[in-house]
Amino acid sequence: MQKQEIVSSFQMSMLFLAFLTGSSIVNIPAPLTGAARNGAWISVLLAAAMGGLLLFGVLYLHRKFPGMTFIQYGRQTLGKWPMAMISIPFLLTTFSMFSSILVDIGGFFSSTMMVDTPSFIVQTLFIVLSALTARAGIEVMARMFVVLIVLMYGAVIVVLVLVAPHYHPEYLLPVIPEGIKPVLHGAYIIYGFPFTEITLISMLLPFIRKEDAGTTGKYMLYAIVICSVVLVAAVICSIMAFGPLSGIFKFSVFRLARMIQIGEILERVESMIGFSLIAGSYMKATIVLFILKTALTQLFNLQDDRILTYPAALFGLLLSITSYKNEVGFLETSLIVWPLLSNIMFTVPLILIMVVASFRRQKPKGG
Amino acid sequence: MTMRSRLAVTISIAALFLQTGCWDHDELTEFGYVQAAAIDAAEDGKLELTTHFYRPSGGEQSGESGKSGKGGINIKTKAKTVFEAVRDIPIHFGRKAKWDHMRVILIGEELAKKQNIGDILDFFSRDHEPRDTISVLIAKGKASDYLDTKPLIEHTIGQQMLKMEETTSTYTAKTTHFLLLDLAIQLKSETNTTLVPFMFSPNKQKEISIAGFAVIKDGKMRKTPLSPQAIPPLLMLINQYDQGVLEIPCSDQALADKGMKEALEVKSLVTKLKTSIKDESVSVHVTTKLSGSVAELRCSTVKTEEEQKKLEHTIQNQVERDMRKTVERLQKEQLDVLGLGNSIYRKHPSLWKSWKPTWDKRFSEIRFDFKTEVNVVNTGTIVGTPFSK
Repeated sequence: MQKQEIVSSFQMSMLFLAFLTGSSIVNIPAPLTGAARNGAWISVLLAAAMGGLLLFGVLYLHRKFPGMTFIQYGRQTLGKWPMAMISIPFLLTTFSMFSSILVDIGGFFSSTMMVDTPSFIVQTLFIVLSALTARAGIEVMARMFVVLIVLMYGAVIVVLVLVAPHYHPEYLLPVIPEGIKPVLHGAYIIYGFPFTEITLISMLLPFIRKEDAGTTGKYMLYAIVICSVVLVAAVICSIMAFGPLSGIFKFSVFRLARMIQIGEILERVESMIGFSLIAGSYMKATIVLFILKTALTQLFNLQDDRILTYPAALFGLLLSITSYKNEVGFLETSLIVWPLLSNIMFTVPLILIMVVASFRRQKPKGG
Repeated sequence: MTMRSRLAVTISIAALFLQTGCWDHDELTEFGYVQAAAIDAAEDGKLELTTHFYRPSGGEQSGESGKSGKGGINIKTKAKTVFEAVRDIPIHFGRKAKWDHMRVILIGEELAKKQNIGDILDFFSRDHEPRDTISVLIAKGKASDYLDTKPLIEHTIGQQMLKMEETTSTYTAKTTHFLLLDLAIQLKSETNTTLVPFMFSPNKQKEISIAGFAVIKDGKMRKTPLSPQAIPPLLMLINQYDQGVLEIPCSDQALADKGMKEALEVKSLVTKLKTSIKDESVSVHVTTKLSGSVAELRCSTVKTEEEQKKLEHTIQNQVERDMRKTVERLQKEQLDVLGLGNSIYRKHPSLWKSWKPTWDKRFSEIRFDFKTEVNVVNTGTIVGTPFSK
């Protein structure tokens, strides 16, 4: 790295928030309520609590190895080759996640707003934008995403407030008519996406300014709390508006936006809302791409830390175009396989490194 | 500027122009904008879809033949599925239908009785163009005939129907503003019973009226729709009564026997149904709070506290009697349109599971009691004596 880029802990928490809320706010409420029904909000809280535990793990390692990324301290604790063995599936899974975000974006457009536009066109434009942003560096991302997050959260809040005339609070009951099992199923889905992905953020933490070390944990925790609050709100509002249908409608928040009708003045605003929401997916794709190129650079000990951005983006794009033939296959993979896969590939190595690191008493210097 | 930054600026400007649209382009004139659609049963299990399009050049051509309404064009297509019928529209019309601006869906009575209404509406919920906020109506006789009617004050018949439904539900309390989304939710609800606004024509499609309800149970329409007279007390019971008029018999028995009535303008009405379950039996307490003002007086005088009390008492009796009558009729027909089953499911999901199969019978045995609070706020702009006295 020629010039060390740094961001403040507040900016990092904003990146983290974008990373968590990003594509999940558009895609997760529907399958989640489909599985957990009215208990979906409990699932969010359960999964967020698990996410909180993961964050503690990540922060623990960050404190133990300041200035080092997951790959770097993994190498230090486990040794060069074992870590390489872990890193390869870790990276492949991240690539798969990256391509899933792109598939989500394509799927959203092809089934809601731009039906005749081929998905790969939408995906290519998004990936070009993401690659340019990721290459511009984390400082640029941090500054820019604050604006986009405000826009995205603003859009969500506007939708949830303006649809209020259609809410029926009685639809929230009964909370768990079928017992706890559906709720756990829902928690499994939303824990897999986005909460297990928290491990990836360990690749970004070393970019935090040294002086901000004290506030990092606090801000990051706030990000999880805010993310789960908005997910819970989205779930509750879609249940109040759609009742038994909330698991049936894909893209709940967008569907809610289509219902906005304040007199004859404010209606048909969903395309604006749709683009604000999809900005979240763009942010997440960009952050993941940045993580990917950082990980690749460190894994192969490259001098130029930006050289891999474009190849990684291209690889992700090709993966997203070729991985899934249709939506059903994609949904099955992302709702059933993904939580398991990401747990094995992300969480298990994290726990492994934590265990090994806590046994090695001496604190390594520098990074 | 260096070569590099010049290139960047050029690309950015090009992107600005190229990225604002979709993949292809569509001009406004390539589409026909659907205002209303009517679906009827046709021969051998087919559906007949009548689509009412907005005529872009507007109302000037109102002098045309009665076949197409003012500013509107009707296209008829037949197919086994709704979507096939939709895609056949260009054969007759030369433009593709655009559904975003649709106002109402009409379903013919015969079709509603024959086929599950969910099958018919699946397309409108699934496709990305129609909205969940479209109004749904069931039409007496053939639904497509109503689209030939000329709109009275609005530009298209679709808008006319929407406005009729909306204002009737707000000011007259003889129907509700019922959306596609409401229907979809009710079809998925536990009791699977719902009320869809009913449209009929008193004089062979010259005029249309939207009042009363068709009852949909398990996806199909019940034989007889509920008449408009039965609607206000029903709306009171389901707490969908917004504003309306109550006709009350004269307190003077002799005049009342002649059929003399007075009118109250109901300004607000809130009803709560409280279900209590004791072992195997259910009882429901209906509490109604009504407030309104005197709209017409013919025989009563409302000048003292005592007279006010008397009037309120008459109103209270009237409201309770009407509601009881409605409940009795619903119980006789075993139609839980009050959503009692749904509310039991919400509070006691496990009990509901065992009750669900026999719910219709249980519903007919529920004991209802009524409690009504009436508040007559004022007597309008003149004092509380009849003008005729």
